[in-house]
Amino acid sequence: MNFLGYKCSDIPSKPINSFYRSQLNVSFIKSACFKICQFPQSTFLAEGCNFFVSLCVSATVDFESSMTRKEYNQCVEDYADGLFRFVVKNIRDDEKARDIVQETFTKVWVKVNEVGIEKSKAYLYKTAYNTMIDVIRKEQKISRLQDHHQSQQSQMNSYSDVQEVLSEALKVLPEIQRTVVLLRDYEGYAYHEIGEITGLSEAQVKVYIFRARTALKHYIQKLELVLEDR
Amino acid sequence: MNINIKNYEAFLLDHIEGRLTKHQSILLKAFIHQHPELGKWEELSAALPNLIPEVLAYDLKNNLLQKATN
Repeated sequence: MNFLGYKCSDIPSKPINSFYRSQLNVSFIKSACFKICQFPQSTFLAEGCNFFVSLCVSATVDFESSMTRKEYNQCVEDYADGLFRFVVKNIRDDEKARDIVQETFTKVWVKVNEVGIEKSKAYLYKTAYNTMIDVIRKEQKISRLQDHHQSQQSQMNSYSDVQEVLSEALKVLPEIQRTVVLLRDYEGYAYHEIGEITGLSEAQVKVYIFRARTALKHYIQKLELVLEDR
Repeated sequence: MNINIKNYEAFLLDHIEGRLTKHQSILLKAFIHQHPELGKWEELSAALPNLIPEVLAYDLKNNLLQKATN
């Protein structure tokens, strides 16, 4: 009987040799676990289990906090669009947003043995947030308020509805306020989850969201007054 | 419930989104009245706008996928 291509007698009860060690990754171990379950009622099962446990111990893989390639790729399918939207709405630069998303997933792939699927979304957003902050700080972006004043007049004629106005208004918010309100409204995170991603307390998150929404409200009111005067 | 000048906005958000009890809302309202410099209760406790998510796609998704090496 073979186990993953090895004879039963080859399964080591002694230290795992370099050949086995070279194949230690989450996909392999999960595959091993599955295959072990296919061999009931045999001494192979016991020996296979020992082998499997040895693999896990040797690889120091925590089953609960790791992802397979398939699970990682599912994260790409599920979260890449939302992550891109989150970043591009924050930094307003498509090219840089693409780079940040790419860098974020690269960082997550490197840590694939340490990030469980259930925590993957929060980990992705936290990584993207930190990467984005690094980029913003490096470039020392000029005040968004100045940007706003320069562009406000030319944009007034092109607003078609309240959501479009709000989308424009996002640009004038301080960085942290924009981030937390996007995580809340676009991504649907709970306040404590936003706190985990940004490193803020839940109360601080609520304070910033209140300020952001109040600023958005004042922006709309101010715009309405300007349009009424015309 | 300890409302102070640093966290009253968090309580206002909770009030607007319906997470405070009636008693807690009364305490919050009293706090705002004690600090007129913060603004009027009617304005501070009025509904606030929410954003509706836009649909944006990441067009380089294939570059992110990890393919099997064998």
